[in-house]
Amino acid sequence: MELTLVQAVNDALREEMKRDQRVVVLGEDVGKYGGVFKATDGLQAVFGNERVIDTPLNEQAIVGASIGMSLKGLVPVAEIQFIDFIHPAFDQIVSELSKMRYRSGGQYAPHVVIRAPFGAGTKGGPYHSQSSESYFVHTAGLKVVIPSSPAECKGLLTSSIRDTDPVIFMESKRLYRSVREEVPEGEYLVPLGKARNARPGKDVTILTYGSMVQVSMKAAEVMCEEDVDVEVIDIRTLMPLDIETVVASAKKTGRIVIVHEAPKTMGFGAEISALLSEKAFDYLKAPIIRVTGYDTPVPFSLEDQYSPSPERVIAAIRNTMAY
Amino acid sequence: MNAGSLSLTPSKPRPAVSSPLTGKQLLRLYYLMIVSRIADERALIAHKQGRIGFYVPAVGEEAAEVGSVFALSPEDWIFPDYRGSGIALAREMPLKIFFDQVLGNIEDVLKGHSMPSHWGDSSLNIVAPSSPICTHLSHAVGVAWAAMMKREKMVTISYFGDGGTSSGEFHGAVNLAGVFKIPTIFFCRNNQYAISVPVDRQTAVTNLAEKASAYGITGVRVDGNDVLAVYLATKEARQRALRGDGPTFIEAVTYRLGPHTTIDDPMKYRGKTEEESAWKRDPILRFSEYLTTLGLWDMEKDQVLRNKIKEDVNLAITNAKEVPKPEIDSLFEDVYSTSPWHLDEQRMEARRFVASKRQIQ
Amino acid sequence: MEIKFSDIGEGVAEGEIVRWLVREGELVKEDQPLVEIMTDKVNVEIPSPTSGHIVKIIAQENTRVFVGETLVEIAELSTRQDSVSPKPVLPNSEIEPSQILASPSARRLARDLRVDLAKVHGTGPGGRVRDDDVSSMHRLLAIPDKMEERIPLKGIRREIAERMTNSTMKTASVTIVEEVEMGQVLKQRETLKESFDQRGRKLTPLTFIIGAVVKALKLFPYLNAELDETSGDILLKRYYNIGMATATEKGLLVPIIKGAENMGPEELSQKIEEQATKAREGTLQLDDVSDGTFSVTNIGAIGGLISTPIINHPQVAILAVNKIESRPISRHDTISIAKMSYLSLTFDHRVLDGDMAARFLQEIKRTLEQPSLIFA
Repeated sequence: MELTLVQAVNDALREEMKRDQRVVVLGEDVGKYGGVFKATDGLQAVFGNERVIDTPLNEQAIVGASIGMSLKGLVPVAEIQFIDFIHPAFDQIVSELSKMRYRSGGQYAPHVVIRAPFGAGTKGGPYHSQSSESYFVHTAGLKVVIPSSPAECKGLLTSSIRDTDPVIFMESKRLYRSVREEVPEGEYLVPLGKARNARPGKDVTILTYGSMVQVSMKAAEVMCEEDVDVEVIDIRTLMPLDIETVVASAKKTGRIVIVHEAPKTMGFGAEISALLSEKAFDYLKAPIIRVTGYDTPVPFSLEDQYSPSPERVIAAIRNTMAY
Repeated sequence: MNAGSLSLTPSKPRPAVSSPLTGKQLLRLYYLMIVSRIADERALIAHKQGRIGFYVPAVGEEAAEVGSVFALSPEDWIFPDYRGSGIALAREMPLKIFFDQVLGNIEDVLKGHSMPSHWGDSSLNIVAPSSPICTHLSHAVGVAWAAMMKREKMVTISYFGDGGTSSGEFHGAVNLAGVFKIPTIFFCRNNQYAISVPVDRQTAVTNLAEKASAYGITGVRVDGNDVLAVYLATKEARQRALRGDGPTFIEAVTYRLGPHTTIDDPMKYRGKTEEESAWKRDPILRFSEYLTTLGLWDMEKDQVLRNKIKEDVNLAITNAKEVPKPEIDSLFEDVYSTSPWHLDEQRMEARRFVASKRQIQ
Repeated sequence: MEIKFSDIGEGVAEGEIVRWLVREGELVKEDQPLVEIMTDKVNVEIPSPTSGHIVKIIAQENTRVFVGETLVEIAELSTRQDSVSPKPVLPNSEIEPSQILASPSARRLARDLRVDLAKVHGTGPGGRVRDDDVSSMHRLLAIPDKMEERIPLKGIRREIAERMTNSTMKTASVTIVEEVEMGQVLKQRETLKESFDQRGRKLTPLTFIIGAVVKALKLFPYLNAELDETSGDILLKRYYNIGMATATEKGLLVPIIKGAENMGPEELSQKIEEQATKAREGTLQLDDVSDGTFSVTNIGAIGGLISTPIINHPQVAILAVNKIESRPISRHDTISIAKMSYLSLTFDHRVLDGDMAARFLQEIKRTLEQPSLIFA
C-alpha cells in the first residue's frame, strides 16, 4: 500500500504493538488526539489507554518513566513532540538512558525508543526546525536512526523497536506528508547499522541521510546532464555507522560530498570526514566537501535558504569534480 | 495530610508495648545500623590512609535508610542515590560485594564502571544509581507503573536528599506518579544540607512533606532518627501503594553527621557546636538506649558486636584492595548489547597500549 | 658515521632495499626509521642509531645488500653546545615530492605504478597532478615494452626461486599420492562451526589436517627431521612446528604454527587464522617463519587434482592437500558418492624410504576418516 512517512510510522507502531504486548507508546497528545503530527493516530482506540498513554507535559518524566518501564520488561516507544523540546530530557538521555547498561555492569539495560520529528522545511523557526542528531551520536550507548522514505521508515522503526539498545529515532518533518511510496504490509524490517546505496555511481559520492537524500538525488539527476555519475549513500543509521559501505564508496569514487541539515561545525559530516581521512586518505582525489545548514539558529523567514538545496549540492559536486 | 502524625518524640523511645517488631527483629535492625555505621567509619579512615579513593558516608542517616528498607519486601525495587551504604547493607548486600564496588576491582558486580558508593545489584533489586540528582525518581515511577500494568504486587522506592526536591526531575517524577497513582514511595532524607547549602535555601516551605499536597499525593513527615517511626511510615506507604491509593512522599528529618563526601570539609560551612548537638540525637545511640530499656541489649554485648563488625569490615576492605583491577576489555563492555566496529577498533588500540611495557615517566 | 646492514638475527644474511624513508641532506633523529629492507624472511625497518644529517645513501633502492655492508653515511650531530653543526648536504632531487601538487589518490597511484611524480605533467588547476595524469605517464613509459615485459626477479620472488632450486638440487624427492575421504572432517567441522562462529572464529579443514599430520609425525619421527649435511647425521625433532604455505600478494610465504602438538582445535584454528592474517598483511616477524619442521600446503582450495610439492629444505617432507570434491567411490562393492581428496606427500629419499612414507600417509588417511581421533 502507498503510505506517507507519518503513516508508515503509524503502521510500524501498530504492527509491533500487535505483535508484542510489551510495546507501549507514551508522550504528549499521543493518545486521544493521535499526536500533533498524527503519528499515533487511532492507536489508543485499538490498544487502550494503558498502552497508548497521554502523559503530563514533562519530557524528562516521559523519558525517565520509559526507562523505568523498560527495566520491568516493557518496550516503551516515547514520542517527543519536536526534537527541539527534547532538551529538558537531556539529562535522562545522556546520563541515564545511554549509561545505565554501562554503569550497572550490564545488569540494567533500558530498551527504549525515543521518536522525535526534526529538521527544517515547515517554517518552524528556531524552536521547531532543529536537527540535533550530533548530540546523540556523540553520546556513547545510544543508537541514532534517521529514515529517508516511508518504506525505509517502517523497516527501520520496526528494527529500532526490536533492538535492545536505546534508539533515538528522528523523523524528518519535511518528509512526513510530502512523499508517498509503496510500503510493504505486515512485518517489515530494515536492519540497523547498514547504509543503503540509493543511487550507484562512479564519479562522486554523496553521503547523506533523512530528507537530504531526496535533495541529493535531485542534484544527482541534474549532474547526469554534465556526464557526472553521482553515487548517493543513504547512511540511515548514524550510530553505529556502516563504515564499510562508506569507505568502499569513497575508495571507488575518491570524491566526497556530505550533505546534512544540521549545522556544519561539529556536525555529523565532520565525523565522516575525519573517518575517511583515516581510512581512505590515499584514495581521495579532492578535499571532502560539506553542504550543511549554517552555524546559526534556524531562521523563520529564510528557512529555505538555511537548508541545503539541490543547487548548493550541485555546486559542491562541480567543485570537487574540477579539483 | 498526615505530616507529623507518625513522628515519635525526638528524645525518648516509645514504651516496649507498642513496638511493632519482635525482639529478634529489633536486634536485626540494630545490627544493620551498626554495620552501616562501621562500614562508613572504616571507609573514611581507609580513605585517609590512601586505601580508598572516594567514598560517600551516610553517618547519622542509618535509621532513615535501614528503617525504610526493613519495611520493604525483597521483590520491591530500590532506587538509591549515592548516599546509600545503609540501604545496600540493610538489603543484606555482603561486605565483599559492598567493598569490591568501592574499590572497583575485577570482582565488582558493576565491573568497575561506576564511581565508589554507587552500589547496585540486580540480585537484590537495587538499581545501580547515577550521580545526577533525582534522575532515578522517574525510573522508580516507570518500574512501578509497569508492575501495576502487569498486576504484580510490588512497589518501588527512590531515595534522595532535601536538595533534590528543588530539581526539575523531582517535580516531573512526583507529578507523573500522582496523575497515574503509581505504587511508588519517594523517600527524602532531609539531612539539612545539600553539600554546604542548608535546607532553608532549597525551599520556602518549612516542612518538605507539604510539597506532596501540590501533587495530590500523601505526604508524611517522620523523625528520621527514629528507626521504628521510619519503619512504620514506610510500611504504611507500601500498603497504601499496594491498595491502589498512589504514591507517598516521606520526609525523614535527620542530620548528615559526616561530610558530604570524602572531599568535603563541613567545618567550612557549619560550626562544631551544631554538629555536637546533632551527635546527641545520634539514631544509633538512641536505639541502643531503647533496646537496653527493653532488656534486650547491654554495653558488653555492644562492644563485642562492634569489635566483630570492625574486624569483618577491615578484612573486607583489605581483601577488596588485593583483588586486581578489571581487564582492559571491560572498559568497552556494556556500552551496547553487542560491540560495534568502532569500539572493537578502540579496544584493540587500548590492548596494544596495555601490552606495550614502555611508559613515559 | 657509516651505518651498516647489521646482523638482525635468525640467520639473515642479505636483503633488498625496498625504499629509503629519508633523503640525503635530511636531519634524522635517533631511532627514526631510515630504510625498509626486505629479507628472505621479513621486511624490516632499520632505525637510525644516531641523530644527524644524511650525507650519502650508499645502497640504492631495489639492490641487494649483505650483512656488514654500508647502507648510508650520517654526519652525527655533536652533543657539544659550542660545536658548529655540519652543513646539511642538499638533496639530489630538485623538487621534493611533498612540494608537488597532487591529490592523495594520485600519490598512491604513482607509488603503486612506480611513476616519478616529479616527471608527471599535472593537468589539474594550478598544475595539480590528478589520477589521469599519472596513468597516462605510466602508459607512456610502458609503450616500448608492449609485446614483452621485463619484471626484475627480486624480493620474495627471487627468494622463492632460489629456495626451490636449492631444494630440487639437494634433495632426492619422491612424491606419493593417497586418496582420502574427507566427509567426516567436513561433518565434524559443521558440528563445531556454530560454537566457533559465535566466538567469531573460523574453523577450516586445515585445522584437522594439521592435527592429523602432527599425530602421524609422532609415530613416524623420520618425517619430522633434518639431514645435517656437514656431519652426515639425521636430526630427529621432538617438537612439531608446522609450516603452512600461504599465498599472498607478494608471493608464497610459509608462516609456522609452533608447538602444534600442544594445541586443541580451538587454539590451533586461531593460530592458523592469526598466522595467515599476518602473512597477508605482511606483519610476520622473524620468529613466525623460522624453525619449521614439516610443511603443509593447501593448494586444493583453488583447484588441482594432484600436485607434487617441493620440499621446504632442510625439512624432509611436505604434504599437499588437493581439491576436495564429490566423487563416485566403490564401497562394500557398491558405488556411492563421497567427498574425496588426494593427498600428495613429497619426501626426501635420502632420509627415509617409500614404505615408511606410505605408512605415514596411511596413518593420516586413517585419522582424517575418523576425525574424532585427531584431538583425542
